Amino acid sequence: MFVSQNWIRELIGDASVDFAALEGRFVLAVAEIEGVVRFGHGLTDVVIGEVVGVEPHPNADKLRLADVDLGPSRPAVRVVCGAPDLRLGMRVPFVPPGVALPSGIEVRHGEVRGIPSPGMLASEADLGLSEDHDGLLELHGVTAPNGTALPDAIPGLEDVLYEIDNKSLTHRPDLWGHLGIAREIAALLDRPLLLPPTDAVFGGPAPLAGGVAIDPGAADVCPRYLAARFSGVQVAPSPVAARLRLRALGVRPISNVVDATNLVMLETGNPLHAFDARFVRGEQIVVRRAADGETIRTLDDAVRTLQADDLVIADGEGPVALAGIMGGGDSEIRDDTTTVVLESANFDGAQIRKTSARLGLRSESSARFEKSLDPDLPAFAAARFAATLAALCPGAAPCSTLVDVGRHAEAPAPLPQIDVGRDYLRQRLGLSDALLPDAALDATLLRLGFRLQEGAKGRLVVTVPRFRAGRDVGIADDLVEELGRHYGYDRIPSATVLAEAKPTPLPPARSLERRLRAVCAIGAALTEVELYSFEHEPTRERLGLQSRDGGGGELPRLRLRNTLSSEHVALRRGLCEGLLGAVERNLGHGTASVGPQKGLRVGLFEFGHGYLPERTPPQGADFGLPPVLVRGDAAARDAYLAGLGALAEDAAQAAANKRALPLEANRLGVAIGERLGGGADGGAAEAPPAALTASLWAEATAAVVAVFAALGLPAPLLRRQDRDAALYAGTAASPGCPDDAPGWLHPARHAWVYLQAADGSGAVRRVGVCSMLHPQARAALEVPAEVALVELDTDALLLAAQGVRQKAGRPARFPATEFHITVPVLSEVAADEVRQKVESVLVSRREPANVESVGIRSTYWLPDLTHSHPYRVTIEVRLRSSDGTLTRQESHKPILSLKSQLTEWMKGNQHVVDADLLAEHIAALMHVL
Amino acid sequence: MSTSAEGNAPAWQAEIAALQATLAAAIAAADDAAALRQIEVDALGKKGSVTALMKRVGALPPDERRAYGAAAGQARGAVSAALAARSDALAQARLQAELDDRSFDETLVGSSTRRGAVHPLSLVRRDIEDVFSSMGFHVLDYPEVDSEFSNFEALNIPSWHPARDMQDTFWLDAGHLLRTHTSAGQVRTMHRLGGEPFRAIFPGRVFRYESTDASHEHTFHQVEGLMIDRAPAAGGPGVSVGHLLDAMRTLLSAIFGEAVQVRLRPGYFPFVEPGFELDIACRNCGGAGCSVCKQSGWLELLPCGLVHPNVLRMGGLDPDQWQGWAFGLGLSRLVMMRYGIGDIRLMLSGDARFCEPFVAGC
Ligand SMILES: [Zn+2]
Repeated sequence: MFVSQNWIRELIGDASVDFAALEGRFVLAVAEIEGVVRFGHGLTDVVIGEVVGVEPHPNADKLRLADVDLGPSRPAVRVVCGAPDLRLGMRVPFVPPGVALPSGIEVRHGEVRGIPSPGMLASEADLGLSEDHDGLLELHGVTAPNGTALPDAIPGLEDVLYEIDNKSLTHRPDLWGHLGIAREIAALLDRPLLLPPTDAVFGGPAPLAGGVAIDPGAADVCPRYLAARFSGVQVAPSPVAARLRLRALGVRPISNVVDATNLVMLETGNPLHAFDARFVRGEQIVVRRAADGETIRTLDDAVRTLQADDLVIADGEGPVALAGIMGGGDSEIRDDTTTVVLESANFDGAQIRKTSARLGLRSESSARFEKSLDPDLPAFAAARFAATLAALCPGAAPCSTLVDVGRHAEAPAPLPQIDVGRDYLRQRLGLSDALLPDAALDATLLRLGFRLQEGAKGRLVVTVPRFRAGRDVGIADDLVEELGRHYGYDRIPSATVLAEAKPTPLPPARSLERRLRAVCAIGAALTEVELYSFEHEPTRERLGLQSRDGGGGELPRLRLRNTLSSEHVALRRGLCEGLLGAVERNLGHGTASVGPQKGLRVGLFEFGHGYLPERTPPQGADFGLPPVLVRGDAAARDAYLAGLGALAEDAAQAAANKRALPLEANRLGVAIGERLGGGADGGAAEAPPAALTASLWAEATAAVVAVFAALGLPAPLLRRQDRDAALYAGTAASPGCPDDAPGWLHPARHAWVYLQAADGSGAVRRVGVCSMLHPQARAALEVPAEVALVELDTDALLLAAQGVRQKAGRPARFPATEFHITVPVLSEVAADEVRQKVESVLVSRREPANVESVGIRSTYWLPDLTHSHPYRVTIEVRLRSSDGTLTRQESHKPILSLKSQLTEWMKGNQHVVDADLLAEHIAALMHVL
Repeated sequence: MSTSAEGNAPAWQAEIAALQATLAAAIAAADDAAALRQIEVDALGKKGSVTALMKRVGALPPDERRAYGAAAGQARGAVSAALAARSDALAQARLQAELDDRSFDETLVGSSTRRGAVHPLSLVRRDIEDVFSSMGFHVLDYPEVDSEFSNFEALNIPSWHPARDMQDTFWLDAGHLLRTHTSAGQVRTMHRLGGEPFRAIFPGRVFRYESTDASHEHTFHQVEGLMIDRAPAAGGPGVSVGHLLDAMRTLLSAIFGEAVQVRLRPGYFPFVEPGFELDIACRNCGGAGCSVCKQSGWLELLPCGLVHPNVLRMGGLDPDQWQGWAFGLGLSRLVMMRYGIGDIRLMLSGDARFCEPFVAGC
């Protein structure tokens, strides 16, 4: 919104206001000034000229020659003029040669098509007053003689405008007109506000014979409606001073009647509307709800279809205006209008905003009404219209009573009163009695229009003026703001409060997450990303990423009711879908977070939420508390659970409507992808080389192992679902565990990640999954690539890690003995099963274990897969004693026990291990050791 | 070997001398360590030629044995010494050769091995959490999918308020929504920590239903701050605009790592009264005015204010007993300011190149 300094000067009756000094205080006390614009400056050399002769240009059809009288002190001149509206007798601005105008035009002693032209007749655009090039600026209403300088002839031509940030006025309906702004400035300067005259006399018959009424169905959204009839109207352009004031404020001048409504709106803040009385059919006006499907042609010439909850102004036959937003085209003011019906009303803000938003139709009027204006204002605005119209259109005057209907007209709501202690107001600001004594406090409130009475015990009873009474000022804290901003927030002394603070430790989950982030970024060399919570639909469709439950049914997603695009319609259930898309994009534009390696490889990770509508946050369980409870110390957790009682209404409603919030699982997702082939020949259909798959798998699983290790958790157990179906079926998934069958999961190349209890109880919980990308999804990638994916329920991990105390490593003093044993096993046995078995045999021995580590060294398959035991797993065992170097005998003992126990290892009725071959290996081993 | 000049010198004298001479020549000719090693094995090893000399002593007449032993021992010593000398000479030559070598190209600089990176949001969030927890703030976390109650009603945003309109909020079914601000955690926190004075921040992801461009994103990050203390009527210090000013100055100075000048302007947010826009002195020009601050010398940084009594009531706190302040800091905006990011859409682009510079300091 623009504010004119000239207008403010008029309203506070002080021509010498020092605006430069005021700006800083205004910004801190009232609203932000976004810009300062100068208007009408630089025109002192432009003078009034009168066209006293017009002749055709001998050499050009579209140009004419104008003889211009410039008053007694200058000789008349003949200039060339291209304006189509040039006519004899008009008075227009004349720019003498040698003058540079603010618009950038420089006028010279020129010649146009062979005729000398010493000067120029100017349009508004030439003078930098508007963009209007269409014709000359005709100086209507200017009485000064020819030759007078323009600034002397048009009072108030030179102005400075403030552009106020509308956002900072949303809660202040009283500031949407110059009067409100002037009131604030008057208070800042401690000067009275000069209300402009309202002495018009209404009287006579009713404005409309058929009456003015508010339909009962609309009474709630139209608190007040005033109407009056004006006769003696002669529609014409407004005097130039009024036209330019409108221009300065960004409003297009139209005609004296319409200009009068706009000027009153800019002055008071209350929009008005004027109807041509001839087109108010049936001599009546009704404010009512629209009928569903009813149409109206608005002033902008668009036909709008209405709904039953829209509000219209109707005459005897149909809608003539969209209430508070825009008038109708059929009843607008025309050149031959002689009688006008004025509407000055008050509408409900939410009502106006709703219709205006639905129709996408915003106007100066709707912008104001939607703030919920002061219902006292329409009467004042109607009176100001009478005065303004009389000035712009001599002879126009009220010829009816001023009808005033609506609940506010009948019984205005009492003004709010606030009973408050002055000490409270000072305390909330942080001001002492000395800084803000009672007298100064009272005076500030009085200047802002509040009325004061002494209450009990030195308290104040503050009556809120109507123009602040809507949704603006109603409680003591609102008065704190009034006092604070007029006292000056910059003058409030700061009061130390944080100094006594004791540090509060970060919740354990936060510090553990930091550790995981370091492991992923530094340890696993992955790059952290943050991705949208929305799934990307085209990618999901193309790659077939739908998530399924154990039975194959598609799992639900949280769907948006309003969407910005068809690409984002639902929230993600997990992170890998988005990470996969990001890997694809990164590989697509050739990014590799890899250094100088040959292949193009990118590894990403994200900490984020999976949104799981069918799971609700469990309460009180050890595993998988909702994030709000997991994070934070135990006391805070208990306080929260207790606090749920106080939110009883919300909680009860939630329970009744099954509206519990969905589970938001905190997850860690990892995706590592490498581009296949040289690129060009579309290697998508090709299977990735086994070595690449193995290398990505190793990298992804290494990250999982590192995460567990960083949290001090036992090493994770990784098993394909079909490898150990009983383990999968018999183990509970953590509450935030990834879905059973996400679309990216490779049924033959994946492992579920199991968390093993640290207490050695053998309890396990499924907390995540690693997988190579499903081959069908892989084939649909836009960049041929192999991808490994990981998704972990970090809530489960962090909860398990909270009790873990990390200990420093204890370097051994004696040398280790290391041996490798190759175990020939059945094809369906996994290397880690062998490792686990070896470990369990060695650790369960009764003698001091002396087992430092048991690992997988290598594996290989016999070329002949029909061999009974075609898979060879070489296990690496390191023995070490804390008491001394192991003797040969001490080294041999565990090997012998392995021989006997591995030989007895059965699956069903099959020997897992080929006993003869094992015996051979062991004999050879014993020989070497 | 000088004894060979004697007329009746035994035959072995010449033999030893010949062997010694042969070996000396071989040693002198050996030009690397392996050759020397071979000569050493051939001469002094278990089956070596010099070792064989030593073994023959028993076969000689007793009166010659002493002389023979001395001669063989001398030969062995001489060969050992020659080997050692030649070895030293070769080592010296190698050293000199390496020192004289000028083929080394120091400009073949290594490209780094693969390294990971963290998101700049994580870095800034970490710093903010550290600053606040060091000043006694709890660091809390709340759901992103929340109820209309937490996001609006509890914050004194009644149904007529423009913030409730469809154009600002992503709605889900059953009155749930994607929280539009971290303020949605205010009332939860009052229930969680209320009853004693407390201070807390809750950082997180928020959502706005608005189209994206370089400075607008439908998903971004905020940090909410909330401090509650006893009112003077309840024997506490109360919470005033003066307290808020001091707290913001202190906290922002800690976040920016240098003294920050702040000012408050009126701002309207239904859950605070009075409400403010807090500006900081432009860090580009120091307050003198430049293009970054549109010549005003100030940059709008965050909304804040004293907690509205209705919000305290929703949080189960009696406004006569408790007072508070709150602020909402744009975490994404802070990240953009700190790292010179011109386009907010990069933050959630998933482009690895964006995070590449942020390696250290996890
Ligand atoms: Zn600046």
